Amino acid sequence: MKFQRLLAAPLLVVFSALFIGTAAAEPLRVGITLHPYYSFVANIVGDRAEIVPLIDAGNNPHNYRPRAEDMRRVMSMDALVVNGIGHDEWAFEIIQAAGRKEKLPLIYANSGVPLIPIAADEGEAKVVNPHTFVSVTVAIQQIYTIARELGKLDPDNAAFFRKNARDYALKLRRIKAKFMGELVKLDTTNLRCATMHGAYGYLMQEFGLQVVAVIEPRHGVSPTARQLGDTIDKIKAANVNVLFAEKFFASNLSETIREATGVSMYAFSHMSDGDYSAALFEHETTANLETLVKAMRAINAESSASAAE
Amino acid sequence: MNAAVNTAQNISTVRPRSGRRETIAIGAVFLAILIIAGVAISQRQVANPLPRLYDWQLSSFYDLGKTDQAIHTSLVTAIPELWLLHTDMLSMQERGKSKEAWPDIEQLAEYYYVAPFAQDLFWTQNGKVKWARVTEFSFEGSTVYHGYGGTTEQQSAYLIVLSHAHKGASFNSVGSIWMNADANAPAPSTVVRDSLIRNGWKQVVPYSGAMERKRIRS
Repeated sequence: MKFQRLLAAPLLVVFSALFIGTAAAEPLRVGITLHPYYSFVANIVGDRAEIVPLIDAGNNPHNYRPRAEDMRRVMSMDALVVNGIGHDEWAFEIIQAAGRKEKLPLIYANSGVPLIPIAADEGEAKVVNPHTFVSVTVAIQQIYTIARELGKLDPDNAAFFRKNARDYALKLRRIKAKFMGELVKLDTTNLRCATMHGAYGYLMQEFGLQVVAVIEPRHGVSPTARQLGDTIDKIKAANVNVLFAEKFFASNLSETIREATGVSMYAFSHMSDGDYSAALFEHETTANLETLVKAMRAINAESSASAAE
Repeated sequence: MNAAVNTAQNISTVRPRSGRRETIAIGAVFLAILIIAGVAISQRQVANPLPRLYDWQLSSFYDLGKTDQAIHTSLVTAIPELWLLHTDMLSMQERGKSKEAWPDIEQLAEYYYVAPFAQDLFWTQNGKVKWARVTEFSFEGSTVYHGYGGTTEQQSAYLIVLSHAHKGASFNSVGSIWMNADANAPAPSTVVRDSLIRNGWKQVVPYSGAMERKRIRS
């Protein structure tokens, strides 16, 4: 009996240490609001954290209405990565409703991003472009911010997160460089583009391309008949030759504009649709850049044909 | 006699009809509405989230042209990249594998594809700026990358000043960006603030997501 007691004490210590060790090693549950943030976090944390999308895939974040199950999800998170400047305001409603306003650490992916106005709004009040996730350069800035903040929450893995963030950033820059290599062979001086939506300002900026007109006056707001008329006039006056619409949010407005002006139309991804995946951001960025190259090749071909005539 | 007095005592004065009281009442109501509305409006004023800028500073959101704005965006992202590479290079220096502490332009452009140093479409479209790493500031604890000679209309010259002042700054994006209206402004001989200002440099203050979040919340 005495021997059992003597043995029990060290065993208790060993099992307690093991239990504490296991509890400390419990991976973070990191919430995300938008598809690109899933990709960013997945590439940063690898298998050392669990990712919890706040809303189900297949919902349009622009007009999302919070549901009861969202509150259940937010209750299980250790942190939440948010855009915070106009795409996921519903997340704050969910956090408030779940009573975690003061308790849930929020990672503002854009906290260090230098914001730009929605393109082509000179002369009007400048409005912040919140689409910082539809670009490579600004996405990298966000990836570093997320990695740094996750490292503060999980110091044991901070170096691992940082290394992954760097590797991922380099991978994204290589994708961009590949398409830069394609585009640099083409004459981009003839590109005069308009976009349906302000989503592509950062993307165009990092390729040194200018957007002449943005059709939607505000995010998700259809133009009035007068605004549409003005836009059509603006497109004609600026001799716009390409209109970039949205892949998943088709609008009959773009068809109206195409008919009225004769511009060529191409579709970009807004990165807000499909299943959440680690590779989504790379895939959609690649698709967007392929579209850009395709549009530029078509313009070059048209210019060559015109010159031949 | 008594009847006459009684008659006189019973005389009551009837004022002619007038809108005076109504006018005063309406005026008072109008004034009350103005006061209430004024107080309500003043309570709903949104605090300006922008830091107050000095005349030697520029807002990246309001004051920059498109080319300068594009270069500024890429420089802001380049800052954490530069610090990360610096950390690597310091570690290599300790092991005797590197003499340099900061990446040169060629490394940034050709190996890491970091904008705005890489000579790609962005570089071509934004004035083909020439970049140089200026290392003479080591005694001041700073390293500078200088961009000059841009050919786009109304383009500036650029500086990234990376300061060693903060302990553990290697992943904290510590650095400031300055622009000079003269695209060919030479690299400064010192990065002391007053000297930069005297030589026509202005610090660019970004309008960050943190500021926009503050504006939305207010």
